Amino acid sequence: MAETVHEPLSDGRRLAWLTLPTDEGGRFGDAQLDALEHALDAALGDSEVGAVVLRAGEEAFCRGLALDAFAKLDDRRAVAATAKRLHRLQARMSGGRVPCIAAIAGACLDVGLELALACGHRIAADHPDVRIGLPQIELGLLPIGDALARLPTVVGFEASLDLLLEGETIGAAHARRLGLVDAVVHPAGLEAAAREAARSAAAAGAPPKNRRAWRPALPGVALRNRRSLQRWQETRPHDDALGGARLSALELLGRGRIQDTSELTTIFSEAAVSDATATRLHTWRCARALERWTPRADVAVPTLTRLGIVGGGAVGADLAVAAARADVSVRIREKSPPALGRALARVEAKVAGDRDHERRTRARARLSGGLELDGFSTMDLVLESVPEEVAVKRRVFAELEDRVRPQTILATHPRATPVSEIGARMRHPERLVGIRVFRPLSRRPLCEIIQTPQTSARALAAAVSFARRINKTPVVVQDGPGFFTTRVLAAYLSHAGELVADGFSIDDIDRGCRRAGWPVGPLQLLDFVGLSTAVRVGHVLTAALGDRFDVPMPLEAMAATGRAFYRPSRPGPEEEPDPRVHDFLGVTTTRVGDADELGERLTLVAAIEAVRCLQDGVLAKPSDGDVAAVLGLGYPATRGGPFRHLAARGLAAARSRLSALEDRFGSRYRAPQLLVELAERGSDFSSMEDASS
Amino acid sequence: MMGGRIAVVDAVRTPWSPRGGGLSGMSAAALGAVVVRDLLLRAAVLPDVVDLVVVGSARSGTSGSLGAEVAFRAGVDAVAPSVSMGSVSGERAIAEASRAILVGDIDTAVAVGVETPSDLQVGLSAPLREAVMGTRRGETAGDKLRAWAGVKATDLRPTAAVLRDPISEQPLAAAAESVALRFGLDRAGQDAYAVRSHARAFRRVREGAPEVVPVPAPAGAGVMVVEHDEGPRAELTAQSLARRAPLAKAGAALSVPASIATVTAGNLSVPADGAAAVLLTRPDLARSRGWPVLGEIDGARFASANPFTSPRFGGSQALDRLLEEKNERLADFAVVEASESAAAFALALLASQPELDPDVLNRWGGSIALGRCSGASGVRLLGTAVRRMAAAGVDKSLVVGSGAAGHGAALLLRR
Repeated sequence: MAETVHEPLSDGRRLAWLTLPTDEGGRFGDAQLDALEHALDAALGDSEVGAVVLRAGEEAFCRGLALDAFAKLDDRRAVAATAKRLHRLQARMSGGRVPCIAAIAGACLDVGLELALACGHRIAADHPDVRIGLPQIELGLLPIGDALARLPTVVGFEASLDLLLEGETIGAAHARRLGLVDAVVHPAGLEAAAREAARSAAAAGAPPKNRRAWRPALPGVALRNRRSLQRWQETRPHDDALGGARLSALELLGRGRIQDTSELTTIFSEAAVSDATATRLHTWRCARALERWTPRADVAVPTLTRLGIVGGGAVGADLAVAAARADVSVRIREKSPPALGRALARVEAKVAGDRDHERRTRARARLSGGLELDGFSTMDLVLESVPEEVAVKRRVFAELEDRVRPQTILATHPRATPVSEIGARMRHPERLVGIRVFRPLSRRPLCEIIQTPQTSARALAAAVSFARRINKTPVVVQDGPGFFTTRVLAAYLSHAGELVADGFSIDDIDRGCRRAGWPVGPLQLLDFVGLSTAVRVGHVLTAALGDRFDVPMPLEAMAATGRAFYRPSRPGPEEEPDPRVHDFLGVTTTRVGDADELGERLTLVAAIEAVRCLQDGVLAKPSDGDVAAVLGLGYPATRGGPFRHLAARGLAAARSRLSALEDRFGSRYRAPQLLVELAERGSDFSSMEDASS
Repeated sequence: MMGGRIAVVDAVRTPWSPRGGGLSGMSAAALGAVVVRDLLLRAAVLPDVVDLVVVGSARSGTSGSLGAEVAFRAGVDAVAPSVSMGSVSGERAIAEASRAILVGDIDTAVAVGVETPSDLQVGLSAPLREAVMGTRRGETAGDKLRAWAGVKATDLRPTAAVLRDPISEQPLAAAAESVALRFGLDRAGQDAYAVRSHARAFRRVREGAPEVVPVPAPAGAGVMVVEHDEGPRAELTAQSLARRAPLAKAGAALSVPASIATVTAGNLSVPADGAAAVLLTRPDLARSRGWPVLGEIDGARFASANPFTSPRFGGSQALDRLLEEKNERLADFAVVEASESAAAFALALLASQPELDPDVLNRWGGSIALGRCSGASGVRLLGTAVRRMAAAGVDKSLVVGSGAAGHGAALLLRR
């Protein structure tokens, strides 16, 4: 409940300290809104109160809306009523006789920031835990309060776009530069600074003015905003995949200052009850559930304070930095001095990019590299990320098994080779588990954990806790060639390559997939992964699973000669499709395809491979596949993952579409047995959700 | 030092890298952190068991808290003082750590020596310093401006610390020259000593020195791993050294006529960047924890010699005291490691200690080949001595350190 503590002000009136109510998760829901309304009514209605300070509870100011409770409101009127109540509350806080001050410690996200914005003066603690922003847009939800109207008046139009539409979260210092907070003070001085601000505000009868207060409705403001919006849109490469909420917000912002908050209520409640939001919320909720999941209650989770990494390539370096930031001591082993130098240069480049001095210094103190396995005997977890060659990986584990303690967990980061094959020669295969992360690490919040039949519960628990430690959502899958993610991605990418070889244009294929909701096109992704790597993966999977992963010969030739689908454009840093690709492939006529149809076909190929994974027992349940595909592969978030996507189309419809495609384009589109069975039974994947849990 | 022994669990060092070499981009704190961390990893000892980190350095680090910086960066959460005693700072760090263990304050300590002469410490010229102070003192703008009246353009040049004896103000070469004169050391003998130092050090590099840990050091935009000592040169011969001009010619600072001068850049050491660390604990504790023990420290003595009359003789004096106290004879030692910032000093030590066999002294090379890394020297000597004992199959050895300002140190090691 909201606690209000009063203390005397010098003029005989009182200062009310109001703790922002939140639930156990630090979030704000209906109950908290009631409590806050009640507490504010009491404080603002009391003529003795000269100022109010809204301060953070135990852990955070506010982490956002309590979406678990909130999503039960599927009725638009109820949602709109809640939004309206919040608007009224905000209006009272900012416009009333009593000045409000926000004292921000910890996370201040979404509705938390909105409440802070309603305060006339905001002070943030100078601490890395302070994160400020409106990340809720990632779920297709606009701010529930009046942030759309208020934010541009506080930080200006351009900065608002990044916060409102990109869901960017920023630290205290950055917020100060933007004017989002008025002062940043040492955490220990937050209370004193808030008291001081409250005193002077009470004396003046109003909070100190914002530096960038909005100059009301000057002629041309709307026009300027529109130009600014246009610029913003031009710099965003994949606008066609923007959610509906973002589009309506864009439209609203383009009109200039928002006077009437009832419009905000309408677009918020429309977005909140839309299918798009329901889909994103589904993924979000499944991911949160996976984060809380523990393999077995009776197995103690091994401590993780020391991590050894063998192989400091891109993945090894990414993981090293992520672990060091989570206070794990990391030692990287590379076999040659130049390779070690490159690995540590990669690591340092990432660490140096951190703006926060404390985090940077602490991460550096936890990272080191060497040429030997010195000290690996004392590690809690050793992760191998050497190049994918079974013999090389086996050699690493043979070497490691001679060195480490019996309780050390060993992990491999495979690309496609089954974990059990890598660990086939191990004396203790039960300590081996597969851990896969995805690049760019900062934008792929998934950690795929691969369990072999031998993997011990302890090893699995260690891998899950490692994933959590580095802030990734763990999804446990069963071992097999390509596990889940690589299988789905390989089916999708190899088909994209095949379409190029068939003469479809690079631009059509990538644009089609982006329009279908993938963050990057498959061919751009192939360039990022490296064509030669993709070809090697294709070979492994073709050998194990069949022709659908077969890499077309012309692409192998491209890989062998180090070619790519894109080249840097002239002038500028952007990339453009390389027109010579088709010449090289010997395809004379470029087929004109419908980009949207290409996107749909490729997405379908990815989706049915996911169904095969479920059918083969790689996935425990469909929602695991949904989370893994969206968070790890970039499967269209608007579709909520392959299973939800197919279910939304209707399995029978999907099946008939597939057989039509199979007739025209071949066996890649053959519907998996499981899909056929479910479609015939008139059932869908939800029946398989509880079976295993 | 009080009675009782200290177990040396392990000792590592970075490559010695003459000034401007591969380690020149490293700060003293970063270099110290590498050896501390790698020492613990190699010994498979968790950082939490370390109670104390003592960092010795002659002049590196600017904060006065080099010890704390090193410990933090190495991930060791322990009390970490810095100690400084010129070129025997390393020995001093070892002694401080040992004493803390002996008196029972702590169980386990890491003693570190660091020196980064590439990280030049520069200062302000006297007139510039005066002007800055005057600006601070001045109350009006006019006062502040007037403080700068006497400052000439040349005064703005930063002054680098000159490597002289702080008391006698003698440069190293002059001190070496005076010792050579006093002991009648000729040019050929000094050059031959230098050639031998290089040959021995180079052989050690080629055979592989397990005490040396590779150091990833910033190089341009990237990171380069420095693996080996960079100083030793195999191609050096007495003939090539004989062509070097004596340093006496170079400046008036040396009060020796060039015709009889014998000290050249070839038989003198160059400053080097480096760090060394040693893990120390109680012998019974090492046994009960199952840690390997390379050797034990049985005594440490320090001395202060007159820097005018007996430059670099502190080590010799400390040695005399230690041997007398421990009732040992130098002739019984088959392993002796000593600092050798110039061939003349090493030859003078041999001349003044007739029982010391030249073949026993610095058998794996010394500072003339490796470079002199003043504050880290003592820790390197200890690490080398314990390993030489094992290689030679003997049960005792000596470490002798001498430096400017009369500092001297001697350690007795057993196995």
